[in-house]
Amino acid sequence: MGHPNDLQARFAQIQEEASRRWEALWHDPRPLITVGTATCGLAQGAAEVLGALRESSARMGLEVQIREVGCIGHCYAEPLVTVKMPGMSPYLYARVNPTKAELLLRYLVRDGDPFLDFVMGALQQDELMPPVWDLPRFHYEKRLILEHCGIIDPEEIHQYVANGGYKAFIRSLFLKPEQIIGELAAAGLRGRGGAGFPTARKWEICRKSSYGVPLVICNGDEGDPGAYMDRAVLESNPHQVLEGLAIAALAVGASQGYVYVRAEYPLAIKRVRKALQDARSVGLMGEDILGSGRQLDIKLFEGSGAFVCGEETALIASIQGERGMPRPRPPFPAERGLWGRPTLVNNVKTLALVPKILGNNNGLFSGVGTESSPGTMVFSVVGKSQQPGLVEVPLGTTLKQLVFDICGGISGEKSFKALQIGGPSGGCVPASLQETCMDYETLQEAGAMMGSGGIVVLDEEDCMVEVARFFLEFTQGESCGKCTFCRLGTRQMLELLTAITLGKGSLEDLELLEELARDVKQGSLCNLGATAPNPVLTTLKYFREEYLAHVHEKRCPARQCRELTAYYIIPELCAAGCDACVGTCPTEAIYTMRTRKKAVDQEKCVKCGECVRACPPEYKAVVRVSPTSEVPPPQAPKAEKDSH
Amino acid sequence: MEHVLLEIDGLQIEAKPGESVLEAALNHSIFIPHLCHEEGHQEPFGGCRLCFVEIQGKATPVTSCTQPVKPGMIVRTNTDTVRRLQRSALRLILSNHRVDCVGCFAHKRCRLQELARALGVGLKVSGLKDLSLQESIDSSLGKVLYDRSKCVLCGKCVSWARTNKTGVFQFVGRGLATRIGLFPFEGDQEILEGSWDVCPVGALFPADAAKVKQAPSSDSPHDP
Repeated sequence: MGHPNDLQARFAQIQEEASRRWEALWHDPRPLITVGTATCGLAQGAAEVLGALRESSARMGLEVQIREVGCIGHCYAEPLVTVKMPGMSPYLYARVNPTKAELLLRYLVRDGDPFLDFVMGALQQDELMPPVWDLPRFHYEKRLILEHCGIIDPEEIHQYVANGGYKAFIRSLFLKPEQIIGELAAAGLRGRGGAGFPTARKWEICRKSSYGVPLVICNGDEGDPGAYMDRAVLESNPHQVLEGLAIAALAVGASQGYVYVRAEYPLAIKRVRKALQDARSVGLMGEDILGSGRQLDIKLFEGSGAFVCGEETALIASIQGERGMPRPRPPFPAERGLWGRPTLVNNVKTLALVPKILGNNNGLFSGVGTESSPGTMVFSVVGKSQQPGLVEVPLGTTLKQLVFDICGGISGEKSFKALQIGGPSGGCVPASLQETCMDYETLQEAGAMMGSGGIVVLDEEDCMVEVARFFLEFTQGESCGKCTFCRLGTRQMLELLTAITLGKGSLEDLELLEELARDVKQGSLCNLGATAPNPVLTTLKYFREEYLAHVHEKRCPARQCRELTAYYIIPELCAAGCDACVGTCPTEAIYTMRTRKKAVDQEKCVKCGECVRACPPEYKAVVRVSPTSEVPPPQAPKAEKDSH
Repeated sequence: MEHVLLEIDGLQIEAKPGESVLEAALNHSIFIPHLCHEEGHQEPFGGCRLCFVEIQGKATPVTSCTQPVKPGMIVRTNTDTVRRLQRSALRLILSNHRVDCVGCFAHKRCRLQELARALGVGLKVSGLKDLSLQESIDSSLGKVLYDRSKCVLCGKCVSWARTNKTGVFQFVGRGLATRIGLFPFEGDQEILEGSWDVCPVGALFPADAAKVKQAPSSDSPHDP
């Protein structure tokens, strides 16, 4: 490295320019409006809100700056809009639609009335409005990965740099690889993509491998049902991930690398591509980084959306232009991977944490979490949660804190039953274990795993056999077909689970299911297969009585399995003369009895559930019962035609 | 080059460095069930999951094709866990294989027949769901036919194609729908003639053998 002072001076120039722009943005006499347009926001109509803001402000002749930002994690409150009026704190507004957007412009921007009706909080200390971090969710959260997500414009490298971005990378340029890896080891960072392998050890193996010049890969092939944190991070702050990847390249001695993002994430691809271009154009990547003599060439690789490509050997095969099929390990890719060269593959979140550790403020990271699992983790909480979204908490937070204190509990008036943690590779942890801490070891002991951090909240209306069946259906369909246990073992398990949910399972089937689960776990080639039985094994462990009810009594305790349930109108609750349910039934299965109350013709009923939704809440007369034999025989014959 | 000394089932064995445990065992007439293994192939396929052994110091059984021999290694090929996994894998393979031995091109030299005998597993699997397909022959290559319902996806034809620098056989599909796709072959047709010999189960066979196959299979010992 030639002139260290020169390098720092050049970076200082970039920083100055970035700060200048950032300050200008906030001190502009024009109001600043930001809209969260990550995919979660777009799905809730953020594009329409953005359009309405642009269109209405033009129509009203208002001078405003409108910018797009990423996801702040509060997906339940999307679309989220922040408005910063000159001389005021920025306010965060929740569930904005085009009408509200227009009202915001009219009252707040034009008339200066903060329009507190649907404000979520202030984003700075404020006299008028409590700040958002007084909300329970922000209070519990510790944002390292998500720190700037939803705040900065992901397509503006200057905004990342103005907020401390790339400082850790510049610092790392002056460190020896051993020092970088040493700091990482001291922080105790573990992989955030699955098994929690110590990141420093992986880097060390890669650095010391004798198979040529190493390569680095960011694994953004997220594919678990219900998990979307990697997407949100790539869409909201791609530079933090790239900075982590760049530091990794320095540590292992790589000058080339890939960001692997699945093609189903078009926005993430767009933003990563823009980030790569920008990093190159300011000189933080490319040949001769800021005159240091170092070079780093990162390419974006679009994966074709096979779940198995999240497995590192399959991911590598697919970059090589081959079919995404895992190969036996060892050799581990860190030793010998892409093109036969040592290849470091790290998850998006792992890499996003790296700048936080190397950024000279290490305490930030290792000050939180537990001893064996330091730092934070981003979980995506979905399912029957009151406030689904992304949550970044210190590891070691209990399940109860996550579900109730942070995400507001269970939606509706239902009771909490279980959490499915870690996607198709993870397991179900029952509500009785809600004091369980979320760290690698404790979750593994409970039979689940951290996985990539997907959490599905389940309530009393979720059938655990069906949950297991759902995940098995997913994994067997995503099997690459290479190994016997994964291709056929998971399929046989699915057949058994399906039979049980149809009420056709026997005790022998249950035994066979357990045997197969054990063999698939032990015998599979890669971790997709080896972890596929986890949802089955954990539900069998914690909810065995539900399986037995399906098998012995043909009863689904959660009253969800269609074949084992029936709809029944309780005559005592049904209001004579009320016709609310009749019209909604698509098969005309509801008839009027002589009492002028309604009943369901079980022969005609297709169990769609429309009548439950139609029955007015003051009656709640339609119920699901299981087993189907619980439905009493019709009490009264059908009313005569002429009774109308 | 120095030999590697290891112990398999109590026998002291001299193996070549770099050899897999499976190869070392087979070279010394110790039988470990296997299906997808290819002799002399550098990178094991590792797909059939049959060649499990237990190695002292490892908590769970491992596939012997992926384990390079190491000095002093102690290997056992015949433990209960190993046999359980092997039988389980073979039963799964057979649950997805159309058993029609008598009319089959590979009859009496079929690897599945051999494995079933060795592991004491019936060719018609009970307990598991029958996932076998109807006979479905792809004749798009002309000279060589592919019957998907027999295929066990050992990958040998794909590897053969790669060795012969063609892409004529490739894996396609996912999950249970994974199969071998036949792609147009523009090279020397003579080369294709070698392809059916690599198939251990008669899923690939010469077009002129199809007549034999279509003969009535009333005396099949395996068909119900």
